[in-house]
Amino acid sequence: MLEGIKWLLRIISRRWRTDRRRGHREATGREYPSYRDRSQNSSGNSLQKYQKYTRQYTRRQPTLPLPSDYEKKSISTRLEENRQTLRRVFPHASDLVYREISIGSKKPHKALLAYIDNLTNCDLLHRDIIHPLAATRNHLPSDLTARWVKEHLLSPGKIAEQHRWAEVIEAIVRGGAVIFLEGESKALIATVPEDVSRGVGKPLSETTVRGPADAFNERLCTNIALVRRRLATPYLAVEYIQIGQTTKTQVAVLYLRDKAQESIIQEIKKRLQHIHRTDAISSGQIEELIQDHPYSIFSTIHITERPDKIVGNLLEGKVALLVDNTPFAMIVPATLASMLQSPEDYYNRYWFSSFIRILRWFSLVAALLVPSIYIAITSYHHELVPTVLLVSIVASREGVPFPAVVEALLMEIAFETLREAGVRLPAPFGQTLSIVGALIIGQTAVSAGLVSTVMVVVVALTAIASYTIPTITLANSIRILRFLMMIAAAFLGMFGVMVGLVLIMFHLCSLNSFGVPFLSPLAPLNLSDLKDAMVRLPNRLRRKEEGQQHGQPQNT
Amino acid sequence: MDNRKIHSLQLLILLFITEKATAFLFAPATVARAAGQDAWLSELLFCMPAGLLVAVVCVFLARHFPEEPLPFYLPRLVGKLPGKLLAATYAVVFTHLTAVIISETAQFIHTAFFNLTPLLFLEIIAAGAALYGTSLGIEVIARQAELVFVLFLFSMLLVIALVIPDLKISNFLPVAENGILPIIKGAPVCCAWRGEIFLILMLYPYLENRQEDMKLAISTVVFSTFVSIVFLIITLGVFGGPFTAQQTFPILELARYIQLAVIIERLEILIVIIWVAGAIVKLAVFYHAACISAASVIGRKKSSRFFIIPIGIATAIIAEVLYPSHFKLASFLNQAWPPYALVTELLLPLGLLIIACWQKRRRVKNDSHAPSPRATS
Repeated sequence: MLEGIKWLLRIISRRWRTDRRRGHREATGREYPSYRDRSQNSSGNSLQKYQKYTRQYTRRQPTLPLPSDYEKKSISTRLEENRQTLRRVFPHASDLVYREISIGSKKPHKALLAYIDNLTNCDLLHRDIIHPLAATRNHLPSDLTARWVKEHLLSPGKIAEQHRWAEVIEAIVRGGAVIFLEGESKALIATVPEDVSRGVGKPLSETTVRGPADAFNERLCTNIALVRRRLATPYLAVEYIQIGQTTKTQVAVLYLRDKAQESIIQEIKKRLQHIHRTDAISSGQIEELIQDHPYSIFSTIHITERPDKIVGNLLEGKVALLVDNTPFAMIVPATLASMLQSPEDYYNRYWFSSFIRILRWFSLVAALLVPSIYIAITSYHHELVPTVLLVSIVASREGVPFPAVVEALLMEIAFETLREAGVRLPAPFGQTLSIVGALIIGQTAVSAGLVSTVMVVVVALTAIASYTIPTITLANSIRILRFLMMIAAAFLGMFGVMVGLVLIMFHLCSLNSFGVPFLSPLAPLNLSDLKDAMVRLPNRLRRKEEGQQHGQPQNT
Repeated sequence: MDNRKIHSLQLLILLFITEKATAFLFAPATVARAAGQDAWLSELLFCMPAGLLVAVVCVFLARHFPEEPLPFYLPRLVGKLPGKLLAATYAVVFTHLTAVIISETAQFIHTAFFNLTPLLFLEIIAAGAALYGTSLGIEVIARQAELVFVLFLFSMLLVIALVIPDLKISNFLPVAENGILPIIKGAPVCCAWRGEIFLILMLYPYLENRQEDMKLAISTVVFSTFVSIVFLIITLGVFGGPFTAQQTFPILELARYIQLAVIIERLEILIVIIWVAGAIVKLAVFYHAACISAASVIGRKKSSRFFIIPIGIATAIIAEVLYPSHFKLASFLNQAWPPYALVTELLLPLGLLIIACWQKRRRVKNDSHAPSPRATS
């Protein structure tokens, strides 16, 4: 038996190897290199892909010069040597521009400017750096130092002097322009960034009627500016932490020093530093890596794209994390109650806001339970429905060939598919989808006898209820749990629903977000915090309370 | 222990839910069977004092060893081997009581909804849910109790509000028709339930503000007696004594009885919902107690998690073997449960308290120059 398996494996692996060799021969017209050839670092072009492969997967020592080799080196005083080093560090960068400049006319000093032209703003570069250097008529000192050039010639606001290659390389890939001077062991790094982001747009996932209509975009500095413009105080702290070896994503930690709890800030920084080697493209990955319960179905970090929401939460003493290249910011610590709030609650009158908040709690429960309760009642507990209603339910289910659970699962899956298609669909097809979806689900499925009309109502109700949840992550969790509850209801009726609900409640009770219970102020119960959780009491009452607590860090 | 703290209000709610979850359904019929329309008097005159006595004894005992749950200091009170034996006894008692609660849960669901589903299946489902809660720790159970309490309060008020118009004062008259004896006869079962306050011995180490311990214990007993009396009054007032005594679950019948307009009817589903949620919390608390007792026998606090699954399996089996029918369960609850509870809930803690006091007095006498810091408590 074992021998047979080994033999099979051997055949398969040999087959695979010969196939690869043949493919390589056909593609390149050359013989596939033997292992020895590959391991010796030949500079043949055809091997580079393979080298990359091995570097990635076998973690062999890289053969190309990498920036890390230069991290400890200092900048040379000779321009030509510096140019060679840059060439070695960026061997295949066609967009890295080297520009030689002569400073002064009588006794010119040579300088070398290097930048990546896609990342820097050419107009600014020309106006503020190249022109002042090349066209200067000033009296130059005999030994031209970097400091002198920086102070007398260059215009950009942010210029740094560096003498290590690590910083220089870092600056170049971040869009800085580097100036080397002949005979000077320091380089000048000027920041003239090209604005490659879109403008400040409207929030796509969290719309309000009355609130401000600006949303974060992909640029970190724009996003921080949107927050800072609303908080004109020196207490607002903005701390950068870099994450990822390759992506070097900037994460900004924002908090109000007089309101946020020191322990929470420290915990966040600790967790961010813990993952500083992990490449992250967007806040979603960082969210998953820093949260307390990575395996939970619920996210315990609040995601938003609205600057006013961030500001409101900062004022409550929470901490915001803004990630470069992501239009979504994170708020910690998060609670279930905060995830069911919209900034609009504070813009409307409190009667209406309180009503809406209570409505959202109901729709949270409805989005979770309505289909499963329908299944439980139609399958097990007919006696619980008033007779008149029961008659109409039974009448509508007449001729439907499936049990209620199959019917419900069918419709819910159809709805989820439709929703997913609606999100992924290119905008011009949207019209088609809505017509097809509405016709198929609303009309044809019923008249074809596949589902009952009551089921359509149930699915529609659930869908509408789930869209009242203002936070996407929470709505998604509820969406998955809804299916589990439906299965529980199919097996054990209302008892199953209740046991499922108890399990979910147990799980929610066990969640913490950076030391704060996820269900607070409900459990553990805190009556004074409930004033702004389930309902919204008038601002006057709340302000009086805040005035009493003045000077203490607020317990969120 | 785990350095987790429960606030006194949380503990009050937890103990309230723990007692009410089963007492709520099983107690009224049993009391009414003996005491008829005077069942509420039996609650007021005998159960409350009994509950208060247990509460006072347990709190005084717990104050002697505020950092540990009951089984861990047993060896220090009665000697090493007897202490371990007593702790093992408590482990068995808690396991057995958990099995009783499981079987109460399953019987109820069986009677109310699923007549054809095997009891064992329902028992396993209920036990599994509770064990999940136990594995998350006592703090989570306490939070869950708060959530359930909100449901509890809401549905209680709803039922009360909808039933009040149908109350008939004549159902209570004449008061104490057959003298005091039937009232006394009705008391033991509900006393046993009220005595479940003795769980405070297991939960005391988690209490955050210990200066309120006595207040908390007493108000738990008073509050839960109050709720019991309210429900007894309502049930008796609507159904009358004899009919209440005939029912298996009078409160369930009460909810079935509600009919308002055409829309609000058959509210028993509400009762079932809060009952199942409460029962699972209760199960989780008892499992916790059982696991801690078992862990104390081998002497390691942290190993209590290890016992969760064995005890869970044991309880399901015990429930299935000992109480396969409602009849057997009811006969246990009516006959064996009161003396059983008297020993475990009152007599043993009282004895331990006496030993603890005696030991402290001897210790104080021995080193009267340097009185121990516990002398004040």
